[in-house]
Parts: sequence; C-alpha cells; structure tokens
Amino acid sequence: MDKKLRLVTAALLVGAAYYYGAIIGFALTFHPQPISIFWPPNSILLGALLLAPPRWWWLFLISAFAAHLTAEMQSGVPTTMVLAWFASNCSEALVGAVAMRGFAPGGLRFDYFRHVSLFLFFCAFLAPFLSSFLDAALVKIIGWGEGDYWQLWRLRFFSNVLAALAFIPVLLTWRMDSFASARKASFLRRTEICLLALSLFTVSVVVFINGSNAAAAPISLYAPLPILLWAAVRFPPIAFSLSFLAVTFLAIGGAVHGHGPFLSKSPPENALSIQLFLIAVSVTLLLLSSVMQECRQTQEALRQKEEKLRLALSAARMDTWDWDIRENKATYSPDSKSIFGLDDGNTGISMESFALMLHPDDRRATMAAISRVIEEGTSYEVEFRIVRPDGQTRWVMGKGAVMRDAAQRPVRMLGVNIDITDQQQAALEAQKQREQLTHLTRVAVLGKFSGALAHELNQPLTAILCNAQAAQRLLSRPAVSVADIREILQDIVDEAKRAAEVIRRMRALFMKGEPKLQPMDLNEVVGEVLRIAHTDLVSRKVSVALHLESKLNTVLGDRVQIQQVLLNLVINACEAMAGNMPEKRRLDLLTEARTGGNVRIAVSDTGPGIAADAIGRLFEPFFTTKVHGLGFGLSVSHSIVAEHGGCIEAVNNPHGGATFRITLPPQAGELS
Amino acid sequence: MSTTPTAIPTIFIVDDDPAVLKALTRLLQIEGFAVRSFHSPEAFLAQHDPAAPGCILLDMAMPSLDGLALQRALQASGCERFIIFITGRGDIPSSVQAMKAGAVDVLTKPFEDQHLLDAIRIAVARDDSAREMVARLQSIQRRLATLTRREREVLEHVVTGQLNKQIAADLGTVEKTIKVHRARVMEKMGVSSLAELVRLAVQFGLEDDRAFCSDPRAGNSGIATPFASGY
Repeated sequence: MDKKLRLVTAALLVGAAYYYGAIIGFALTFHPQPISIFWPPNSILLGALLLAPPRWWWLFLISAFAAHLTAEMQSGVPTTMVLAWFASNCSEALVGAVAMRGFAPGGLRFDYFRHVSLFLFFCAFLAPFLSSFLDAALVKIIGWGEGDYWQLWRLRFFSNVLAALAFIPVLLTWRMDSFASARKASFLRRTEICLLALSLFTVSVVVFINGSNAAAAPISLYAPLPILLWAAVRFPPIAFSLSFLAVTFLAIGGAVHGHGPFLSKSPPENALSIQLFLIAVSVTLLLLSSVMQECRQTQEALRQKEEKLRLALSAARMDTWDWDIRENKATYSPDSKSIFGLDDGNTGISMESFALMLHPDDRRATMAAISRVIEEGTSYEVEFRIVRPDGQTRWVMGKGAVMRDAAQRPVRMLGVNIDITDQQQAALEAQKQREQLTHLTRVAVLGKFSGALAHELNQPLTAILCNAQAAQRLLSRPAVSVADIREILQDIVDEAKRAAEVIRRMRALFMKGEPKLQPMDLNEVVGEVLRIAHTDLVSRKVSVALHLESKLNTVLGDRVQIQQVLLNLVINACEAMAGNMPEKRRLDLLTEARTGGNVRIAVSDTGPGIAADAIGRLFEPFFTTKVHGLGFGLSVSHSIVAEHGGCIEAVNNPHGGATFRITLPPQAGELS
Repeated sequence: MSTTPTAIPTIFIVDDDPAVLKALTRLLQIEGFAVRSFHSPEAFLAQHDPAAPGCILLDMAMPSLDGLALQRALQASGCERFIIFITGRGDIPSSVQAMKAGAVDVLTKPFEDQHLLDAIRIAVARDDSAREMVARLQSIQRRLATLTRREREVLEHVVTGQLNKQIAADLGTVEKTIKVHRARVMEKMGVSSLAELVRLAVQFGLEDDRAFCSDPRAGNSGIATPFASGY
C-alpha cells in the first residue's frame, strides 16, 4: 500500500515537473520558430527514468503524456504535432535511460568520473542527437512553424543538450542527506557555502541581467566561471549542479528579456551563443567536479582504512616497521611506543639500536634469524623479548619479509611486531596450573597408597628395632659373641637401606618439580610401579600377571609422570575389582612393541567394565563414575600422555573387565 | 598337682617378610624361647605341632591368607592357640575383630621388644594354665575311669551331700556296703577327705548333672579349654 502510494506520488511529481518544464520551455521559445531554446521536459522525464526502476517507467510515461497534452494544447499546437513531439521526447528519454541502465546498472552517480563521462555521451549528447532528427523531421512533415530542417535540428539538439546538462545532474544529486550534512558542517564551511551562493547570484545578476550589451561583454561573460569552478572544486557535485542550473536560468532569462552579453545578434544566434557557452562550461566542470569528489572520497576511504588499520594494530598490540637496508634506517609506526616504550624517536632507528633493545638472551637468535632471511630467505617469524627503557621486559613476536631489487639484492624489510606478553604469561600460568594439578592428582593417587607406604616402611623398621633390642639384650649378658653382634648389625644395616629405598621411590612421586625428560624403558617403569603398589595389591588380594615384551624401544619422557599414570590405572583397576571374589581379582600388565616403533602398555582388570555411556567421557575433567571420585585422575593422565605425544584409550574386554592402553612414541632415532 | 613337667614353650612366628621373621626369631631365641618360624600361613598349617606348648606370633597382612583368616581356620579345625597379632597398619576394625576372636594382643609395627615379650609371656602363661587345667581334668577322668559302675553311683550321691544311709536307701543296699564303696572311691580318686572329693567334682563341673559319664571335652568348665583335639 505504502509502495503504491509512493509510486503514484512519484508519477504525479513527474507529471507536474514535466508540465512546468514545458511552460518554461514555451516561455523561452523565440517565435516564429517552433522550438524552444531551452526545453526542460525531456530532461526531467529522462532524470525520472534514471532514478526509477524500469518497471515504473510506463507509469511515468503516462503521467508525462498527460502533462504533455495539457501543456501543449494550451499553447495552440496542432494535435498531430503534440503527439509527434511526445514521441520524439519519449525517444530521447528512453535512449538515455536505457543506455545508462546498461552501462551503469547500479545507478548513475555524479561522483564517479566514469559515470559522468557516460552520462555526457549518452544522455547529454547521443539521446538529443538522435531524437533531434526525428523531431525536426516530424516538424517538417506536419509543417508547423518556420525554419529549414537543419536549423530546426540544430535548435532542438542544443536546447536539449543544455537542458540535460542543467537538470539531470541536479535531479540525480538532489538528496536530502546532502543538505543535512551541509547543516552539520562547520561554521567556516557554512560561511563558505553562503559566500558561494551570494557571489554566484551577485555576479550572475550583474553579468546576465544588469549587464548591457557593452563592449566589455565578452570579458564579463567569464565572470561566473571562477565561482562555478569554486563550486566544482570545493564542494560535492550537487553544489555545482545547482549553481549551473541557476546560472543557466539567469543567463537565458536575461537574454530573453534583452539583457546580458549575448544580445549583439539575432535571437537564434544569441541563443546559440548562450547554449554553446553554457554547454562548454558544464561539460568541463561536471567532469572536474566528479574527479574532485572521487578524489575526496578516495582520500576519505583511505583515511578510514588507515584508521581501521591503526585501530586493528593497536587492538592486536602490533606495530609495523619499514627498514631501509641500504640506509640502515627503520621507520616505526607511531604505536611502536606502546610496545618498545620509545619516545619520539620512531624514525631512523638503525639495526644496531634495535639489537640493543633486545633481551640479551634473545639477541643472538633474533639477529641471526633476521640476517638469515636477508641473506637467503623471504620472510621470518621469531619470538623474542625486549627490555624497554623503563626496564620492563615484554615478549614480542616479530614477522617480516624482505624486498629485493631486480638484482636480488635486499633493499627493504617490512614487518610487524606483536606484543605477545599477555599470551605468554597466560600460557606460562596455564602450564604452571597444569603442573600443579598433575602434582595434586599424583599426591591424591599416592594418598591411596599411604597405608601401603606405612606398611612398606614398618617392615624394615620392625626388623631394625627387633634386631637392635636383641643386640642390647645380648650385650647385657656376661658372655657376648662378637659374631652374633656383627650379624645383627649387618641385618640392621640391610634393613635401614631397604627403608631408605622405599623412601627414595616414594619421594620422587611426592616431589613437585618441572617435568624432566629422560629416556626410559617402560618395562622398568612397570616394575617400579608394581613395587610401589605391591603392598596395596596384596591387601586388596589382587593377583598380578605380567606380560612384558623383552625388547622395547626406549621412550623419552618424565618418569615420575608416567609412573603416576600407571599407578592411577592400577589403582582404578583394583577399585574396579573390589566387588569380585578374591580369586577373580586379576590385574594384567602388558607391554608390547607397536608399529612405527611405538610402545604400548596395557592395564587390564576383571572388573565390571565401563558403562557404554561413560566410555566416551572417561578422560573429561570432573567426569567420574566413583562415588567419591573427583574426576581428575584420568583427565590428568590423558594430558600427561598427550604431552608425551602419545594417546590413551579405554576399551571393554570381550570376556569382561576393562583395558586401558597407553601408546607412546619411541625416543627420536629409535625406529624399528 | 601338676602332672606334666613344663616344657620350653615354642613360639610359632608367621610373617611373609623374611627380615622381620629373622629379627623376631633372633630376639625370642635370645629370650630363651623355642622358636619355629614360617614364611606363610600355609607352611605353618602344614608343619605346626598342636601339642607343643607356646603361642603364635602372627602377621596380620599376608598375600595369600591373612592373619585373621588363619585364626579362623585354626578355630574351625578345633585347634586353638593363643595368638598375638602384629600389624603394619594398626587399623582398628581388624584389631577389634582379632581381639573378639580371642587374640591375646595386637601389636602395631614397629613395637618395643618389652611389649612383645610381655604379650608372649601372657600368652605362654595362659597356654600353660590351660594345658595344666586340661591335664588335671584328664587325670580326674583317668581316675574316674577306674571306678566301677556302683562306685560311680555312690560318688554321684556322695558329692550331692547325701548321708550313707540315704545313699544305701536310694541304691537299695545297706549302709555298710556304701561305706566300703565310698572308701574305694576315695582311694581310687586319690583323695583323703570328702571335701577334697567334692572340690574335684566341682573342678570337673559336674556336681549337678550327670556329666561324670559324659565326654570331658563337653565339660562346662567355664574356662577356655583349648587343644581339645589331639588329646
């Protein structure tokens, strides 16, 4: 509904404009010639067609036809002539509109140089050029008015060219927002607009209305030109379009009323002079105006892009630099200050002063990376630390590329520096937390062995105490056998060593420290884990079956962490079998060589197995199937194994129970 | 009173840890005990002599058969020995269980030798008195076995406090015959007074029932009577 209303309004507007355009045209007709020297309706119709989608054109044509009939009938033109003229007028508008739609489908814009050129050719030249042949011919055939064919053609052509140049740009650049932006403009700008309008009006009135046909006329003719130039250069196309329309009206109006510089000859000749003068001015300045606007828009777009880039760089804590290798001078973007803490010295930094900003530990590697890329490479990426003048250390990622001349000599290097201090700190923090969690879960796993640990220590202590007190008792007797005492002392020493061994084995697991990579034989690790778990396995009445492959590749890893993973699996297996009868609690530990030199450890139990809905989530943090479980053991195991480049998986055994398999890659260079 | 001479008590030690086993053995041998050590409950069950006096020093946690299970197994087979448990963990539930089942003590490793020796002496003393009691009962039973049927009947009546005349009436005979029987009973039972005879009967726990004729093992003596089997 709303759309239909708008359509009808537009059609009525087109009709009204066409009608008043025709009235103006009749007013500017030098009788007895039938053709006006300035005929706006055709341009108004063409402008309307250019603004509207083709599916609305028929309505505009009907509306214009009605206006045409109304206007022409008033002036006493014969009906056949009226219809003929409408045909020629329509042909002009359609030629221009169809051509522009073909070449500028997105709509004609007067801020594009290409569009203006197309407009000048199709709408301002070709359409009037072609339609004028038809028009003049029809006039001759019907026999209305005076003048020979070529005279009529010329008159029709130039009047329509001028009308097209005066009206269409105004119609197409007329947008409400361009006036809104003028209101928002600064005070100076508004003053300039007022000055432009005022001087244009004054000069035009002086030249075209008041000016007598004095000898100075040819000079005064050019007086509006600087002002039109001003409008074209300093303002958007709308300003020039409006200015030119005003000058056109004043010039023609003045000439019609016998004023201005063009009254030295007959009216048709005067008209031709005015037309040619205005056409020349318009074509030149329309093109200039579009170029200027395009340039302004490009500059604005560039400025916005730069602003966006600056914002993006600053948000990403990046800065750019450009190093002239031959001059050994680097230019940094203004934001380098935030990363490097530089003062205003962001121009002309030499490679040597850059090197001095680097952290001493990173200097050699960074400079080596840069000189390597200068010598042979194309781009580099290196992480380094810098020490800022205020003493702050920051992590920076540098990326750069070398530009070479035709002789492949390095000329320039372009690059970015990215402040990655926060990311580095977060990564370090995460690493620390992971280590802490790993340690805590290890302690938790060991907590389950604490009873076993006490037992392990109690055995040698009991033996030591018994032996020592036996010795004391022996010594309180009159006859003491030295051999007996020696034997007792030897037993005490042996047992003390045994206790120390228990402590040593446990201490490694309780200690918190950075992961230490060392080559290890997984069979040995399995043995150690079984020794630690021995007492616990005994008290849980779990029997152990070992299936160890004799020749396994060594694995590079943290022994304590792998022990932790295995202990956790052993404990889980024992807990899973707690509900079984003691004779059905069997733990199978298997090691085997896999493809690619990989090594596998499998821990199998004879428990109830893993529920189908749990098997996919076992290694998620906080996932647990135990009543008092925290859900850390397996997730930490998973991350430990992943950090070792391996994988851990859980499967249910075909005949009951579950198997956990850890596969680890061999130490580099050990592929069998 | 005691019939058998007190032999040196044997301490049976069962512990799967060889070092602990060796140290305990050494300590107890120095203290003059006969020691037999076993590295597993199975070895103990296979080799131990129930007749030997002494006690068991038993580790609570062992791989195949733990201490409590061994205690139950011994009880089930009717062979009860005084047991001192030693444990590495000292956890309360199993200690309570052990004590309820008649353990003498539960010692948590590592322990003072004096505590161990005290516990062992208590256990040995209990073993000794239990053995003595059994020996006495056996001697009473042996003597009872020598009585004739009539003499037993007389004895039963005598210990209930009946006079000879009443007994003669009950048994349908004359008082003089009862007197003779009574003198024979006193002589066979090795007592010189009526009071002594009654005490013997009380010890045997049979003053008010007819258990004189029954198996002494079922005797309701009110004390622990171990090692009933094998005698």
